[in-house]
Amino acid sequence: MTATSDTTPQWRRPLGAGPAIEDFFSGLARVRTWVLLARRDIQMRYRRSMIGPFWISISMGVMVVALSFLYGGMFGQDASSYQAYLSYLACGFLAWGLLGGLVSEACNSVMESEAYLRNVPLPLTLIACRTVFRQFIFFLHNLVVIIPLVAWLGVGLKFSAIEALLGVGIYLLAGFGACLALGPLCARYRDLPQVVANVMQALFFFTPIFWDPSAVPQRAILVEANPFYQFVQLIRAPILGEGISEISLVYTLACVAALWAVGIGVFLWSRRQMYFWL
Amino acid sequence: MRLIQIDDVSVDYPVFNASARSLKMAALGKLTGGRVVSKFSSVNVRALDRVSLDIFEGERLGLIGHNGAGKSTLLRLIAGVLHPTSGDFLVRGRVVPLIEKGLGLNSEFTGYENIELPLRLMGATEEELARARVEIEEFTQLGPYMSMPIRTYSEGMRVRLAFAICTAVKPELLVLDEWLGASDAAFIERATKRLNVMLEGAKAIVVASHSMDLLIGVCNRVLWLERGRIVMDGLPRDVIAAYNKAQSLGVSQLESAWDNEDLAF
Repeated sequence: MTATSDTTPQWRRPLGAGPAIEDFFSGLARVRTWVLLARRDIQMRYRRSMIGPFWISISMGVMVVALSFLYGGMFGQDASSYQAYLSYLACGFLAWGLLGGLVSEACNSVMESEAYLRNVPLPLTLIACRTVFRQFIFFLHNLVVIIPLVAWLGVGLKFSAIEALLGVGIYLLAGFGACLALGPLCARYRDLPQVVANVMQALFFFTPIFWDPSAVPQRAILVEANPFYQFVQLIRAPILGEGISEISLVYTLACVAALWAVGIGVFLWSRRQMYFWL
Repeated sequence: MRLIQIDDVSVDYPVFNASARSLKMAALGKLTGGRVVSKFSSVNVRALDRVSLDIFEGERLGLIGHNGAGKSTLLRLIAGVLHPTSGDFLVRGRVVPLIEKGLGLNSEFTGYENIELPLRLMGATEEELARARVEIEEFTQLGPYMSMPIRTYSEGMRVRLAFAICTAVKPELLVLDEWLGASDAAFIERATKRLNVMLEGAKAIVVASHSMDLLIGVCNRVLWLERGRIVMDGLPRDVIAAYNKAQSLGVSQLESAWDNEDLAF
């Protein structure tokens, strides 16, 4: 072998067989690829429609307004508590939209990338970033409806509402862990997405979104122990001017840690064999 | 200089039937102490069977063999999308895989809009992307169609675009399946020219094909695979002659010859 060390690349194992840490960070580093994939997903969904992704905003607006008509009847003349309830509901939907979207799309993340994964080596972390970023874009479209609505309802947005951004950051971290964990598992076990969908549906009603936890004081522990409640609070509480409680913060960060631990475990276990599950 | 080192590699594809793939069955298997497992466990198909192979700089390796002989598996192994069940695989340099036609192309988007994603998926550099944007329009001669959604394209136009996109990168190791060969007559001349530029830039090429003409024209080494094993490895003319001779022997005799060895299950 001639000495051309400056131009000769080193021997390496391909993605998935080399050091795991390299896979992990190379996926994160390909920012332009996952941003493009996420943007394409959204463009795709609203291709040939006139207002495009703003349908996301509109459908959120329509749902909240429709519900407000219905629930308006229950509150009768009590306008201020009705407005408070409507703000509560809108923020709950906003938070659940991101949370539920992250979980259900985490399940699909690997399966929807099947065509790519069959042809080019892509790290799981790239796929996770694509999914999380796409859900974040959806969230922003919902945000532009909800924030003006809440302001208009007179709840009085305080500057502390900015804390919700911290909450969103925690969601994204959790979503990334969920993608690493659920993406490969759902590709391997095709019943799992259905299981997750059912659990999420049940939790939607278990989580205080339509109702206030004070309505069920004797079940307070059930509410508090529900991680989804704590996640919803990360976004809802600051927008409604209550700030993020320490319990919510600690609880959700613990969830993030757990999701990442499981996610990294699944990533290590699946990276060599994921191709065969597609 | 060696660029690819495949050392005693086997690849087993698990064939999942619906039951092996479900959680219920995995759980049931555990509950019944493994008795059900044997019944529902997946069958493995051995796609590559203890293959060892070195590919050197300057080699243009062609793969021949029947459908299911392991050509695609070997291509995907070298491309880095699938991993050996046993054995080791090492590579040196930048690998660009062109395995299926139309990777990352989306029929709802225009020709222009479809340039970026396939290239990014293949790991193109910014420089390559910038150059591709200029070159592709010129090369495909799609004119105003470049601003039309590619669902309006004919099959030939799609191939042109897909071909132009994936030949815009400069690989050290090129892995390709034979789809690049297929196109309309007027296009082939320009395509061959462009492909040759790409091939000259590459240090080594691995191409799978059923077209013996293409293999003789492009390759300087041919590997004959059958049932996941290397049958013959040598100069294109020698290997192709032996392959054709085996073909004329008839499939049934060939099959019985293989059946003397243990089945790859």
